[in-house]
Amino acid sequence: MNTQVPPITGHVLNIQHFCVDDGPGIRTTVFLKGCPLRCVWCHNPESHEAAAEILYRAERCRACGRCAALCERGAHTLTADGGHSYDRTKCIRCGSCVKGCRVEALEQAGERQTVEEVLAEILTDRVFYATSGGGVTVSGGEPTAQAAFTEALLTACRHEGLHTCLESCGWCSAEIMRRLIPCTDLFLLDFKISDDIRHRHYTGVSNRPILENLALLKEHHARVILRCPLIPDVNTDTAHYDGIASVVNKHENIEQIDLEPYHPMGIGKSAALGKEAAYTHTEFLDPAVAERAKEYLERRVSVPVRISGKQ
Amino acid sequence: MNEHVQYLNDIGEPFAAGLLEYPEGPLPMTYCRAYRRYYETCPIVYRAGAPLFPAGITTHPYTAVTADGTETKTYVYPHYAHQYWINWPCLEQKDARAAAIMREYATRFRYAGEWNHSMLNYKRILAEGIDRYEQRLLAKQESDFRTALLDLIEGLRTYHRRALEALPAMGAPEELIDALKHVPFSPAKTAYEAVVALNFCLSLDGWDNVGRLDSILSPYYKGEDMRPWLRCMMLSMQENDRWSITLGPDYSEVTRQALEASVGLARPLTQLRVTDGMPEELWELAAKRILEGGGQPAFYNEKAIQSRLKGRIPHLTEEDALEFSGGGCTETAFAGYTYSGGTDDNINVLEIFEKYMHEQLPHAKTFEEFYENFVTLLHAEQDIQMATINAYWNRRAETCFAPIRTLFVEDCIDRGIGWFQGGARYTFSIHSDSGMPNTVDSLLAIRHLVYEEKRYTPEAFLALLTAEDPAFYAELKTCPAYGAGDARADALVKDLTTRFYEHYRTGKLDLGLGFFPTAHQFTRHVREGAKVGPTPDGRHAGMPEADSLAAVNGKAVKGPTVMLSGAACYEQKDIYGMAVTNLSITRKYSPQVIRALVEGYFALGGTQLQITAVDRNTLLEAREDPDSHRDLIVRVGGYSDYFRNLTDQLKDAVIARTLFE
Ligand code: SF4
Ligand code: SF4
Repeated sequence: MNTQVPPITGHVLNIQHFCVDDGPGIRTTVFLKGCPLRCVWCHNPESHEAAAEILYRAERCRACGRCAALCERGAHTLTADGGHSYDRTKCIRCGSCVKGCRVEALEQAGERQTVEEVLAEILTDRVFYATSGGGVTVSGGEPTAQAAFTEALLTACRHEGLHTCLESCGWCSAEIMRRLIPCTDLFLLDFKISDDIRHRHYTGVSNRPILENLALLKEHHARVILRCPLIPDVNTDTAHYDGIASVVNKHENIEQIDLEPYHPMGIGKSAALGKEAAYTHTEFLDPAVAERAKEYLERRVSVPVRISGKQ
Repeated sequence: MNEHVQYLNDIGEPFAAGLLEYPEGPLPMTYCRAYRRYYETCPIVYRAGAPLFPAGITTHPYTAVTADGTETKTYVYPHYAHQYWINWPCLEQKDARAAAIMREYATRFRYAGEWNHSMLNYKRILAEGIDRYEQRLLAKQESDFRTALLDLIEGLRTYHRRALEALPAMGAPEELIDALKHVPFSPAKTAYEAVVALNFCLSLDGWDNVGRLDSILSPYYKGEDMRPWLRCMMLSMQENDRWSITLGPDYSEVTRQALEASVGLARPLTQLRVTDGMPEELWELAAKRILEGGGQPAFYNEKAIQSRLKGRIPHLTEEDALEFSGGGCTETAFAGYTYSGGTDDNINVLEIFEKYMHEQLPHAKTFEEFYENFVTLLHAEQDIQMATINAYWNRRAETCFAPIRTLFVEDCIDRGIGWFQGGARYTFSIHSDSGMPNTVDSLLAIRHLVYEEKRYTPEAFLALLTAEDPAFYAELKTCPAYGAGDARADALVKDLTTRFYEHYRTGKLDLGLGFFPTAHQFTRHVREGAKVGPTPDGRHAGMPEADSLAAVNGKAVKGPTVMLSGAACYEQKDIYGMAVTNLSITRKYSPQVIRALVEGYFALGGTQLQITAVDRNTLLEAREDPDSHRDLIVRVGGYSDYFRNLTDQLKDAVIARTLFE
């Protein structure tokens, strides 16, 4: 009888080396797939669903037909005028066609990987974690949505002596959060909108569970950096800033605020996914808005306020 | 005075006339006399108010006077590497007879082979003064060698006296004139005198390289602000298009001042030797300078360099090893004790590969066979390269003499042997190679497409490559590449570079220790790339080769840390002349991040790292041709993506912000 437990696998979107904005030092950030929220401004729409997704960049396609030959569902067809059409309704996202495309017009977002596989890739940068005081950040999507994998990965990193961060929207059960506390050195927790009605409107869920998890983290003396996206027309108002300040002042375990100015770089991805972008601001957030938010907050909290992307 | 000398003097070519005073040699005399004549007649180059003399351009054609008293440009003049330089077309135009005379001379006396660099023993010059060199010579038995160098010193004395006479009327500050009354003939007593002497003697060597600037000056330093003086010297180095200074590992206040003095200058190139104990303050200064662009200073792994050089040179003493410096761009030398080429010759690995591929790919049954035969061919080409350099060196020793370097580089005087003749304490050839990373990626593409996936027959592969078929090129760009986190790819780099560089240990250099390869390009990768047709690394015909030993531009798709881990697989233990690694960064990183990259790479065994902040132009280029910068990642808080994946509108938005706020 085979008594071996099958290895835990996760839906991994991307493993990104040399991240300097996701916690201290030089880090490798593991982006997992799947997110229970649907923030309208999301710049990683390919992370929404847990399963793999297929990105198709028509501008790169050379209409060679290799994908059509590989797809058993007939989702790819060459058109009479020598073009190529991709019918997503027929696609079951098996990924076969992607391997046939030689010019990167097709890309698969998300792949099942074992903890060992992910860890091996993480460890290639070990020396740089040591010289920078960095480590690993597990992010998403939403990593708590794959709690077992996240827990196993963070624990494995800990065993290797690596510093661990968990970047989360905080929208998960208390039980999951409790399991992740012991294997996480530092939480990077999102706080997007103070007003719950607006929160529901723009993200699809209530912020109540997030606040409850913040309280739980406080109870366990877990270290937290609060990450606050600044989204034009959504949350760049002083009422929200007051909300941030009030949360921070209630939780002495929050040691820093990271303001994350909106940028429009996710927009192209929606098109490649065959989705419509709900939020179509094509401008970067005016840097002055971020500076004003920083100043406003600095007068109301006693922890450092940083603007992400600035060193 | 022979007729030619008279004639050349009359038309205003005094240095050329000097070369002809001993038309049959002896070798030291023909060159030393020319230098003497040069110093007796050359212009006094000085900018009113400058703290040092000379200040300005001293190395190019200069102005001399003809027999009838008119001013004329000289087209035969001293040259730091070749010893004399003739601008043939201009000389021909100025005076056909003079050109004919010089052509005849040059059949007997001339420099053979490629380039070289040096550093004089500035520490000794400052401490003892040139008078003491004269005494050392006088204590030696009479010889042509001794006579020639004494003649040179006479010239230097005249030059020094002429400067002292001219400077007061040229707006020189009194303190400069006072200092010049002592130095460089007597020992320097103050920090200022030390810099004045250093600057004076550096100009005698054509401003080539200083060596360890901080170590040279720190014995004299007593809290002065030396930055304006250092700046003046560096400016002259830049104006004369000369090379390098080295700093550390004895970090001092002078190190800091030297780094600050060179802000905004393209030259000298600054080599910072890094130890575990380098002060935080220097890291910050260095990082600040890097973020200004220009890639200065470059970082050097002290521990690795020292242990490798000691392993290679059995008689290298601790004390001399400490004088490690870079001449030219970065060619290894022990300041004050070395004659090295720099660079003697280049082997274009990619060019050799291209020819081999077209001839042999259709015949190789397996990738292993294809690869092994290539390595064998490469070794044969290296043997030819070494034999060629050796022959050049021997010829050079017979036909060229370096007056200033023989006088001021140890142990030429003590041994009574000229610099080109092997008199320096450490003599070795530094030569370069180019196109290695492109060759590795080409091998990887062939292995992948022809032998493993079998997508193409060798013939079809070569046909599509030759045609530079766009779809085929798009495919080449997705093949495994070195420096992108592919363990098999990095293993191939390791194997090829280990076997390539080890082979140089087998060569014999009659005049010295042997062959010290460098993996450094300066601008050679452009020139060499122009000779090579399309190659399977995705390079188009005539395009540049890789600009350092690191991943081919655009291929390090997993970012700097992975690229550096790959570069550490490029075997550097036998690259004694200097293994250069370039890294581009695309935004302002904190000094801590810069430091962590350097220290991480060095912990992996990397030798040297030069970090360049990418400028707007690169981004503009990437917008025009996304595939030329496949590795360009846009990183904004919590998000990053390849620049090439952005829509055009977003690319513009990113460029507008330049990512460097
Ligand atoms: S394989 Fe790629 S290039 Fe060929 S038709 Fe499909 S998407 Fe287009
Ligand atoms: S992912 Fe699978 S089902 Fe979808 S188009 Fe590709 S081959 Fe067909």
